[in-house]
Amino acid sequence: MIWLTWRQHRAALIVGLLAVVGIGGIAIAAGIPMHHAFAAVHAADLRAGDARAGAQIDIFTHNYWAIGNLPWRFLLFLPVLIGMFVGAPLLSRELESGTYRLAWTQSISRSRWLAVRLELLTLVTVVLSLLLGMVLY
Amino acid sequence: MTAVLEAQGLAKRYGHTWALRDCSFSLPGGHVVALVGPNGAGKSTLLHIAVGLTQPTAGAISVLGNPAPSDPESLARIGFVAQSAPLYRTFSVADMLHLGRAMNPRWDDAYARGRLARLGIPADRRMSKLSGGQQAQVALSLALAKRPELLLLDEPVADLDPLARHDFMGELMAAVAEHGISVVLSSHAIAELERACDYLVVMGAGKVKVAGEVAALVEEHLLLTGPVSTAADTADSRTVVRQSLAGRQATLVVRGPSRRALPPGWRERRLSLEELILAYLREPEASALPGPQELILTAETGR
Repeated sequence: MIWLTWRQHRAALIVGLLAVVGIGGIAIAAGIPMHHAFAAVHAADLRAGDARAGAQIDIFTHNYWAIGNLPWRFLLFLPVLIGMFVGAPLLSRELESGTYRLAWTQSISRSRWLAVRLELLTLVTVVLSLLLGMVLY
Repeated sequence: MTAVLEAQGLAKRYGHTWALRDCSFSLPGGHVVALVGPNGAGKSTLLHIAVGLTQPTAGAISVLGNPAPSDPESLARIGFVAQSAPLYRTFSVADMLHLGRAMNPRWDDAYARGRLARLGIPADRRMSKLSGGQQAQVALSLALAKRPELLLLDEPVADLDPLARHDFMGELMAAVAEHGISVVLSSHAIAELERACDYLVVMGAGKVKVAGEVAALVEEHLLLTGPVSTAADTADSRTVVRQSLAGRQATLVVRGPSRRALPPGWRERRLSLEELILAYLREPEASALPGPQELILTAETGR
């Protein structure tokens, strides 16, 4: 059953994994220097009277404007995307193509068939989301 | 041998239509049973109930003596191929076998692989790239490798060309003979049934109209032809399945013997299985128990 779940959903799972690696990679690659730069600006700002503080803020804003303006808000739609590409096909694809007549007549109960798939996919989705969340936070 | 499929007062309603209604029968094991009937007669519904895909509205069914067909223990003993052989289109042949192995305790992998190799179906080919005949063979292999005691096939050859039909039925018969499996298959391909089946069940309007061993049924039924003028008289003492009038000649399909001899001008002969099936299919109301009132009216006015 684990194999079957993987085989049927591997495309969505691979895309999900790539998305986490990609988005997380961008965030880490850009975020670490950005973090250091901000710390420097902040430190300069604290030393009140430093004339270069304003200039440094301008440089910081100029350097990281592009990253800050990436449409990070699309992450809000991630649950919708997961639902569309993982959740919906879970049952509807079987019903649409008639393959439920194959899957449900093997020597395994329907409730177990559904439970294993739900558990596995939920687990993977939660772990991937958690990873992404940790990186972005 | 005990019954492989037994139903009592089985009924299934979809909205306002009854797919099955007060359907009772008992099918003995060790046969290749042909389930025939017009579209909408309830064949698929019956088979779906037998594998637990559909819940009956009323009545009870027992499959190989098990009253709960959706049980994994019951499903493990049944090989089922649904109509148009549903398969996962993106799966390779090897993937389909992996599925069978993962989901069935009695799975015989060597048999499945050997069978498909013998049929020349490559293991790495995707389902969507296989011909209709090859897909049917993959579906049959999946069902057979479960090592079932009972094989249920819903219109297995409906989508196949004549050659693929012939090959499929040949393969099926070889497997059945080799492993001693009981089979129930629904089909419209009467010619193929005649070759393969030794037990016949005719369904119509949600009921079993006639059931019995083919040899006995062919033995029991007679085709009578004679003049319209004495048709009512002839029909009167017999169980008429179907009657038809063409000009001055009447044709009757009757079941069972009669105490009375045929009137002069009448001839009788046996029917082929195909003629027998067609007689029942053409007469939706016939259940071998009709009265010939309608015939009398038509015979009097029909000259």
